[in-house]
Amino acid sequence: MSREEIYGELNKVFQEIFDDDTLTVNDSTTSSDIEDWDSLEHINLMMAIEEAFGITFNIGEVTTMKNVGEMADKIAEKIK
Amino acid sequence: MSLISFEFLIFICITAAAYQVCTKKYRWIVLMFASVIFVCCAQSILLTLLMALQITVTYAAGVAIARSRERQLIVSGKTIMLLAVLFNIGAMIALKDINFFIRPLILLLKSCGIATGVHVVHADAPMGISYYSLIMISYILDVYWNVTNAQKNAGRMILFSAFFPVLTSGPFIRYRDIESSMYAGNRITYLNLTQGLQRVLWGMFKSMVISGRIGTIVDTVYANPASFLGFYQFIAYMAFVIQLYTNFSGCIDIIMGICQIFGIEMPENFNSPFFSTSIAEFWRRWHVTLGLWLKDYVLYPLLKSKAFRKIGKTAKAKYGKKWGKQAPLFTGLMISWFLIGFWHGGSWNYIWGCGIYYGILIIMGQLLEPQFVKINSRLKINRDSRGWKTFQRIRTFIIFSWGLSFFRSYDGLIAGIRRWGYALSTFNPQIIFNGSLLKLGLEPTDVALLVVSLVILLVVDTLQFKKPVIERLSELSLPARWTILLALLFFVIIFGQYGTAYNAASFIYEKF
Amino acid sequence: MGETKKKCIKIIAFCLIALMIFTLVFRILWISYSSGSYREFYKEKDNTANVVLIGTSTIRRDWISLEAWRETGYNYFAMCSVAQPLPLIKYLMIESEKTQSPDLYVIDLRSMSLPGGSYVKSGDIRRVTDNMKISANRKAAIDDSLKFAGIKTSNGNRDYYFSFMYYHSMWKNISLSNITRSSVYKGYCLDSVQTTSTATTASAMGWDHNATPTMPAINKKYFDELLSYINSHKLKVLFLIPPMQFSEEDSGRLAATVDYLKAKGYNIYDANDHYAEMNIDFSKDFRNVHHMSQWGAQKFTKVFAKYITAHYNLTKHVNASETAQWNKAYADYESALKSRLK
Repeated sequence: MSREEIYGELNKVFQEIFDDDTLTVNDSTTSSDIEDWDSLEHINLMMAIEEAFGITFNIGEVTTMKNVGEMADKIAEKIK
Repeated sequence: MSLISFEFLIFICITAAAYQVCTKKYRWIVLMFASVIFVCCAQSILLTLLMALQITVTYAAGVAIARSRERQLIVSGKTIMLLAVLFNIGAMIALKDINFFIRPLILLLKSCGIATGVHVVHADAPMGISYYSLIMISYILDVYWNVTNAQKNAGRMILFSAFFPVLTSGPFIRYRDIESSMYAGNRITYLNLTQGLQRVLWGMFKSMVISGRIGTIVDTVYANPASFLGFYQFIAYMAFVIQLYTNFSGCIDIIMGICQIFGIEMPENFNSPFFSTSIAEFWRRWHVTLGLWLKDYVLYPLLKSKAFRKIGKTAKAKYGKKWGKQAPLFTGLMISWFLIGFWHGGSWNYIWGCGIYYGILIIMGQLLEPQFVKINSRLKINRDSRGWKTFQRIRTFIIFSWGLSFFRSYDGLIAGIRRWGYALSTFNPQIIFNGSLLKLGLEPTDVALLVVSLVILLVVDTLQFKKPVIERLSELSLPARWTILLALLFFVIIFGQYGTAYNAASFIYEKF
Repeated sequence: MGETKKKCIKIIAFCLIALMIFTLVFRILWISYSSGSYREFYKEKDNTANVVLIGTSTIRRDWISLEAWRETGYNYFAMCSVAQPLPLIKYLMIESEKTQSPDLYVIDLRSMSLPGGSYVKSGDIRRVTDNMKISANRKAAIDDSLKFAGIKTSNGNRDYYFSFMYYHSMWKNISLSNITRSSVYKGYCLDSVQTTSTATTASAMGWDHNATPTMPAINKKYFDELLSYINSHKLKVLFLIPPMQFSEEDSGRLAATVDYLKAKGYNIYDANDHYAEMNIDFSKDFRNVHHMSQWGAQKFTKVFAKYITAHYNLTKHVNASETAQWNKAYADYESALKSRLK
């Protein structure tokens, strides 16, 4: 999967979780950029991403990713 | 030794001197020896050995899990992780909360006609077991999840596990966050020394001047609840919150100040909690590291587990998308809150008052959020206005105090509920104005001093909310800064409760 | 280098200012227990005292050092306080020997007649030890006195060593008397009650010579330590039985002490045998059955001082500034007395 494709899928997941069809994310997006993205939504988001890409994060990864860019990197790693 | 004792002062001075003259590479060894000495002075050899056992198991587990990634071991990394985590949990419960399980067992045996002649087990726990056990568990899990390196050096492991400031009252440190500064051997700089000492002084002000005094009011009302109905109870609950806050956060300030002197970065445990507008926010600002620990090591793993995913799917299918999210979340929250209560004490007053009560409130808050928004818009309340926020803060404080009243309920859950009954039995706001508050065990001079101190606390915490006070202080001119510091220093020296005229002030969270 | 120097100076300056404020605060919160004679003693010039009297409130009320000086030309100083506990006598002698070498010590036997043990209160100890300069001697004095009184402290006697730990809580009781210092006239207490009298009789005074001699073991222990100190340092001591009424129980302890001392060949002066010589007026000269009034004190002092100078060799100190100091002290005492007697 290319990076654009990853982001295409990611945007879909974000839009679904946060109920906003216009939402898009990029490498530098963090939780402070999206109002409803609190610690409780975070885990739902991560689980949704796991399901969308067919991968698994461990909890350590869930809590240590700093922005969406790191997320995309990790997804790319795991898809291989 | 208590954090505010003469012995501790000497101990810190010697440690700091040794630390500073040591070369950078070996400074952490000074801290390690200091921690070992601190632990050995504080408890019997047996308890120290128990602590050492937990640390050894954790250390071995960390090394083994790391190695299991490189080559095949007899048991999998997962098994090692599970065993080590269970061992630490077991040790903590066995040494601390065993009566929670023994009491019902004894009752059960009694009902079967078997007399055991035992009511409760008196066990002494190693100091700080509630803190270091959870820290050990977080370390093991972080190593397992590969977000931190395993510490292969036994001495460094000892320092991390038994770091003497943390053993007294926390906070819950994470290996990955503290690794860089703990072993760096940062020299004691002028800035860290002065700011660290300022923080220690502020902590001493809170714990030595306010905590004990306001505690007298709490003691009076709690000793004789039937004589103090209605608003007396309200006031006692709120006074207890302040007592606990000044005591606990004061202790934390002393700990943080000391760590700052040694250049060790620690996570904050309190973040202006009384400015919270909801219970959920409150627990993000009060005992912060405990909440974070439970989120990362209990709630998230639960939510991510297969069982919970199943709950979510079932709920979504039956009740819709929203419940698909909320059902597992609320279940996870209730379990977490039960554990928070249980951590505070293995008896139902803690489980309810420090746990489930808040869990229910938070869940209700989320469930009823749409209703609240509707009511607010109908009453035309501006949710961003200062007035509304102030109302929310006071409301949160009062609601919080009702839960914490069980923390103080050393006589159990039922007595605590009865206390709530007393609070609701009479409506007597007039006691606030007619001088009855002066008859709660404090002399008028102490009450006046308490009021002054609380005003100082309020002012400083309000300033802190917008910008750290220590930064503000450093921006002042030298005469102004020194005047403030000297005034505070002598305020503590003169009005602090130490010496035989008072009971030795002890830290409540030190018993954990 | 300049930066580090500046920082060191800042730290030292801050500590110094804090220390200065601390001494001021300490002074204000101090409760002197209205007996500063121990602290006044430190102000005396070295090696000027001829006679040092150590004892309880009887010395404090009955002996006027300045009158004795006026009368005989020698320097007397009284180290005394209410209910001074027995063990402290030795330590006060040690303290005195640090800066003075008196020709004679007068020891008030009333301390020996008191019950000791739980009768001794922490205030009785603090009256003395809080006024002593910090030294190893002071620590030993505190430890022994607390042991004698059977007082157990929760933090290793630290409240006594660092008396500020106790006094800092006195902010609640702060009054003008904390800030104004009462004058002490070389150990004599001249306050408003000193110029009052109670009528009594000769037969009411003194001690029962027929009382059963009883010395509690704990009193004997510390008394022996005192005597061995006196012996090992070859100090000249005169024991004084003050002019007062002793209860039956106290008489018993006193009798035992007197017997004990006589057997060892010590000198004892019983003031109760000298009422005629003193020309005591029993309607005016006693303030109560334990203490004399100003008038009685003047009489007792004259007679006792004469006795001392007649029986002991006192070295004459000829020193202009010293004489001037005592002259001034006497003048202060005289004017204070005049205003009392108005």
